[in-house]
Amino acid sequence: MNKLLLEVNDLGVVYRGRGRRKDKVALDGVSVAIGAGETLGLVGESGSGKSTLGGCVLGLVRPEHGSITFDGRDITRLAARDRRTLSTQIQAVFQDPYSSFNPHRTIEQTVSETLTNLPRMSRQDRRTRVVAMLERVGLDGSALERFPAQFSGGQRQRIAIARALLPEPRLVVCDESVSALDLSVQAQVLNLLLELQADSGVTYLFITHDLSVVRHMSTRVAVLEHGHLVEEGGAREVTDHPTHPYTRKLIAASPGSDAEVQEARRETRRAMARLEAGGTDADVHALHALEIQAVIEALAEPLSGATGGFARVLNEFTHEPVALDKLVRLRAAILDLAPRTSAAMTSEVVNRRVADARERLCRSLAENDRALHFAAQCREILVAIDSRQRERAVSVVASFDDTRVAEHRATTGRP
Amino acid sequence: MLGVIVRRLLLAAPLMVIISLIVFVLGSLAPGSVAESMLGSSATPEAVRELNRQLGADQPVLVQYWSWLQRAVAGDLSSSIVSGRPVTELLAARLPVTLSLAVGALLLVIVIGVCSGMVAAVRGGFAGRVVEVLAVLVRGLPTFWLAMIAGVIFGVNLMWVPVSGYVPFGDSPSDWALSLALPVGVLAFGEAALVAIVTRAEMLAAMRSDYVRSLRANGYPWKRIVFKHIAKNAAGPVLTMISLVFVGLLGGTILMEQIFAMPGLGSQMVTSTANHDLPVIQGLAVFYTAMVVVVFLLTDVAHGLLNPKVMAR
Amino acid sequence: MSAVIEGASADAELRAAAERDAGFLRRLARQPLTVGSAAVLFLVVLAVVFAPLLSPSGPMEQDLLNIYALPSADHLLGTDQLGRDILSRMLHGGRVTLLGVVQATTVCTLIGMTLGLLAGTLQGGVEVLVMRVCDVLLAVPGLVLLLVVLAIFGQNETAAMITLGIIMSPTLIRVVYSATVAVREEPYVAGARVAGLNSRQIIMRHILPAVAGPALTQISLVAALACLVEAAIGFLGLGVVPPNPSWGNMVTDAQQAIVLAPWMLVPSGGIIAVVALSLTLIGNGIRDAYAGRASGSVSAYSWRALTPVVEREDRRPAPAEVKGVELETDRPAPVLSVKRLSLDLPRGRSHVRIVDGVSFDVGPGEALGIVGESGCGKSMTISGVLRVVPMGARVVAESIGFRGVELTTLGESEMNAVRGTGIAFISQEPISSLNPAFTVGHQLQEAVRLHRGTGRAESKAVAHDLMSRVRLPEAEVVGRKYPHELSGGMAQRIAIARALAGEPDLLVADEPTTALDVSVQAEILDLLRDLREQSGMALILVTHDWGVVAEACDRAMVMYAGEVVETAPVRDLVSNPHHPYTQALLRSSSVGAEPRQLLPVISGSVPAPGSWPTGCRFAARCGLVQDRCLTAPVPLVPTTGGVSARCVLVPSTLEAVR
Ligand SMILES: Nc1ncnc2c1ncn2[C@@H]1O[C@H](COP(=O)(O)OP(=O)(O)O)[C@@H](O)[C@H]1O
Ligand code: SF4
Ligand SMILES: [Mg+2]
Repeated sequence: MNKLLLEVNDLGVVYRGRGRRKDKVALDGVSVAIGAGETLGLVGESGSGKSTLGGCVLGLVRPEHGSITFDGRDITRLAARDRRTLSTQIQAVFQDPYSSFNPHRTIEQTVSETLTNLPRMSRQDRRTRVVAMLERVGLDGSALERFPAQFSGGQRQRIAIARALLPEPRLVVCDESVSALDLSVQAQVLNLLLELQADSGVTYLFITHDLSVVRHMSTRVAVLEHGHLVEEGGAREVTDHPTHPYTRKLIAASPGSDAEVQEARRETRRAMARLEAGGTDADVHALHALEIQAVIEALAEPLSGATGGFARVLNEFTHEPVALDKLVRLRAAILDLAPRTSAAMTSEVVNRRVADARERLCRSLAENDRALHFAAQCREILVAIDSRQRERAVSVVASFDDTRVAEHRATTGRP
Repeated sequence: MLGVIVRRLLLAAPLMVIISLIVFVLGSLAPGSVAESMLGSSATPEAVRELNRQLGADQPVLVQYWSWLQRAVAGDLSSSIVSGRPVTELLAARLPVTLSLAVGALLLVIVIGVCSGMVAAVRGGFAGRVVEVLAVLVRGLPTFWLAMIAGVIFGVNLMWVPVSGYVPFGDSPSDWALSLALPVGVLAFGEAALVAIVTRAEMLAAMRSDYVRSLRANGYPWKRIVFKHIAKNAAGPVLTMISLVFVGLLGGTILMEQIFAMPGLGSQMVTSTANHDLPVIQGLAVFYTAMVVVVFLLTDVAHGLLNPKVMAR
Repeated sequence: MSAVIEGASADAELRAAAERDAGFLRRLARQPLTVGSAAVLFLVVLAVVFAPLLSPSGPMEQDLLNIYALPSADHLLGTDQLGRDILSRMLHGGRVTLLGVVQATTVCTLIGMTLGLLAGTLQGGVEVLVMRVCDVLLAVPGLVLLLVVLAIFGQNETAAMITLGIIMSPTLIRVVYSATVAVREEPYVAGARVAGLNSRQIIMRHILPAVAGPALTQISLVAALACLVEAAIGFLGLGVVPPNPSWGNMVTDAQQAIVLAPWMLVPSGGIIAVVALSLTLIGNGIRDAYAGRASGSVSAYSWRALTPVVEREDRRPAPAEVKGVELETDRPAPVLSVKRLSLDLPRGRSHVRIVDGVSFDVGPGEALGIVGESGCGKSMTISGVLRVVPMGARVVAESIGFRGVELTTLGESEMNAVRGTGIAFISQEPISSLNPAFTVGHQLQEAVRLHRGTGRAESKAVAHDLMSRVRLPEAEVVGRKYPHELSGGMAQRIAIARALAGEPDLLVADEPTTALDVSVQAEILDLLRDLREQSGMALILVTHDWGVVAEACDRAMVMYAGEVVETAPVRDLVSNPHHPYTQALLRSSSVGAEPRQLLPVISGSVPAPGSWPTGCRFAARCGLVQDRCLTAPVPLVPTTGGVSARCVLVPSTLEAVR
């Protein structure tokens, strides 16, 4: 990590309830850190405390305990005056491109607000600087005299970015800055943010509920659940190899646009539901669903190194007799082909039952002398994944156990 | 529900105390004393002082207020310095007139205001415009002037109703109603437009809401949507408006009693004001406030019945 | 009271309107009624101020030979019972009244603005205290307290007017307070604080301008009221003592002579009415100008305006696209078949086209996704089908067939019978799509009673059954709750249950999961899929999220600028899009993109309704644009495999057929 710019330590925030409403703990002992020039992505579902954390950094929310250090200086409870001075260094871009502008003020007035606490400059200088910044974000000087209503959502978000970056801050808090935008506009704004970071080395605290966006933007990712930090790490590690069940649940639930992956995930969810309801053979079904899902996920979004682990286990399989535990390990490794199988999002109990099923099936493979055949199948899958042959890979997984193919056909209605 | 009523009652009591205190303190600021006005300008200073002592007027204001309050709670609002009659007696004699006026007008306001507001919201067009124009007119036209014009038209020219006077209900219910027709009509005409405009605005707002859209899209008959779903949501603000309108109506009764020569609380108020009859004025003011408080209480209870969120608070 | 059109939230519309051109004064100046009122008021004030110069005679000058005279050249407004010139008395009397109005209004404004702003900005104890005091003052009958003051201060006009100002202040305090609180919660105020503005700057730049409109409106109304009350006091004989004139006691004079000289009523009351009316009209004008709408435009809105004009377009000589659709005959008869549906919304005095000739079919049990960026007309398309549209809308279609019934020929009540039992609807905001004033259980049972005609007990049983079908546990407990007590996911389940009450053949869902968290979204989508499999119900799902389409739909229809640009089975659409817009849109997604690298983007933005080009509507943003794209509208043509696209580059199978 680069030199630390922002350090949040053991932060706790409580919103005091009024009247009969109860107090609400919004953050509880959260610690994160961002290096200069990096982007820390903050993810979590609504109400998990993301914006509260952003608010604390911006001085809009008063923490109950803990500390926030910016560039080596404690800024947790600054006096109003110091806070205003700091505003030239910490800025923000908010979510709603409609309500984050005062409708009665021109773009020039709005944008140049962030210059208030810089040394006084002439009107002309100020305007030159604003125009330069507007041009940087893809607008031009004609915007100065206009009002927010005359711009589209995407343009307003560009203006918001111009306003935030105008005093050349070192940290910008982006709170759901692209969540209200359409896909095509979102891409434009994300690109703009990345370019500006490359140019000026600004640091982002990037708050969003969208995992793919956070994966795309961040160098590090922190995951919040109900005010607790559940996972933190490099962006790739967290999003591709999540360790905490909550993170995995988030990832598994976010729909991609690949219909086949969706179907596999759905199949798993169903199998899990059946397992929890306690149907006959439900554990075997669940395991099968997970295995198919893992292979399909691995094919949809190949991750470097994900197949490596599987290949390594497989290499130990050269000769008979195969110890049962090795076979079990190999079969378990299938689920690690993709980090997003739903195995992780289910309860311990369910996982244990799936593991039991796995052991039972492996024993039956061994007893029927099919262990080596199984290894060969696994190799075929590896090849299929490497050469992007989805159909082939899936059909192999589907035929692991004798009964499989027929069943799979029966449940999905597809060959 | 009982909880809401009790809580509102607990809030109403301090309100009465505060209002009466304000009136009382204001009264104590009056130049000259009660004794002076009772004894006339020829009285000796000693006599005035003596009477003041007897009346307790040489005590600090708060002490005076306290004893007044004690007596008031016991039902004694002291006596008029002009006629010497107890204020409660004056009140009792004149209350029926004012109550007939105020309650009659309030009922009329509710019926006319809510109905025309609904028609305007449902049918729009001409009805909507009429309500809008009326709302502007009532804010701009003096009611006492309108009352006189109405008197000229309906009383003098058409002779449908008596031009002035009040007939007690006990004497003749039909004459009672006739004698009230003009003042009640004029009062209600003015305030009903305000209720109508709020009714319409609230209903229109509800019509644009997401839940009405969902109800419509799921095939609910329009009458059910308007008279059940929208009505229940629009009722809250309309109730608030009605309670405020009642405050305005009370002021209006003073003018109407004056114009149509009706022996109500209002004309007593005006006479006492001209005579500086402070005890009567204090008693009347407190009584007027009490009426407002009762109406506020009723609307609050209705509010609570209608709106689950208020209940939850 | 605002002219918000359905669909857009009140705030958004108000804001948009206020912004349209932000010249508040310019908008005000464009209202003839307001300008006229201001001019009248100005003239009256001027005349009153210069009364000694202007009045033809002294206010007390009697002319006993010429009493009760009607207007004449000598006495423009006639004379009174003592032969005094009414015009002169009016001009002089106005000085008392207008002075009183100024006094009362000033006091009220000072108190109202200060306390309102204080309560709104300082919060905490101050806020509570000020609002309590307001409550108390609101319960005081104003005229009564005035009389008290007049009695005590010996009919002192100034004291009375100051009291009046105080009595009128609570309404203003409340107006200022709620405007302040509304702004205080606005993200732009938080933004200003982050930008480094101090409290004074925030109040001056952000709060005061926002408060100004409502406050000025209220102040005008206060002034009008002050005028009326001052006159009333004079009328009761408690203000200025005769023979000195005031507008109020001139009415008293007129009352005395009501039978002898009814004319006197006209000028005496008239002048009060003129001033008070002008002030009221100015107030209304300020309100309208502030909200950015033309005066009085609200009257166009009503329940009746919610029912759209439906026009049936004549069948044209089969355009290419229609023929293309008809070529696919192997599919079972569709549940819903829409042909050339268009929808216009009112804008100013004319209409603007929002949805333009959209055709699609939904087969039995099929799930059709409508995808596209916001503002492309997705929601309005389904509104048009359901005929649940914003006020003043117009629906034009060649045909909308549902289960073999032609919907365009149905009247409103017949159409209503189709809604709910044939086609049901769930909306984007689960909580606000339920009526806040009834428990959800009640609402669900109501739907069951309505659509199935069942009795009370049976409805309850069915409602419980529905709740278990949408996987809501503890039906009894949940049923007793109000919508605001539920989570978004639970509320959406209730909304779905309500939609299922009529056992519809088609469920229309407008962004049903957009407001929900991803994990809840997955549950709701699973639920919809399961329900569909159980009941064979078809689904139209509107969304802007490709993930949701892939998850929940069989076929999808991509919309751009009011028209369909591509329709295809979801699998093909995602893996092999034909239209350049679909291709570019899918490419620009950050899903699966190389992290921290620039995404391939579509430049520019969707053209707004009303400014669509003649040729291809995507041309301005398309990387493959050619001359022939620009000249004429591009038709939607079928290609292989159930795919249709609207692009000159997509080869049509029609050519082959011909
Ligand atoms: N109530 C309304 N009044 C005026 N214009 C509206 C209203 N609702 C939608 N529009 C306009 O209609 C167009 C299409 O809207 P909509 O169907 O909601 O798009 P989508 O659902 O694709 O986001 C947009 O330009 C939008 O601004
Ligand atoms: S018709 Fe032309 S401009 Fe339009 S999408 Fe196709 S290639 Fe692009
Ligand atoms: Mg929409």
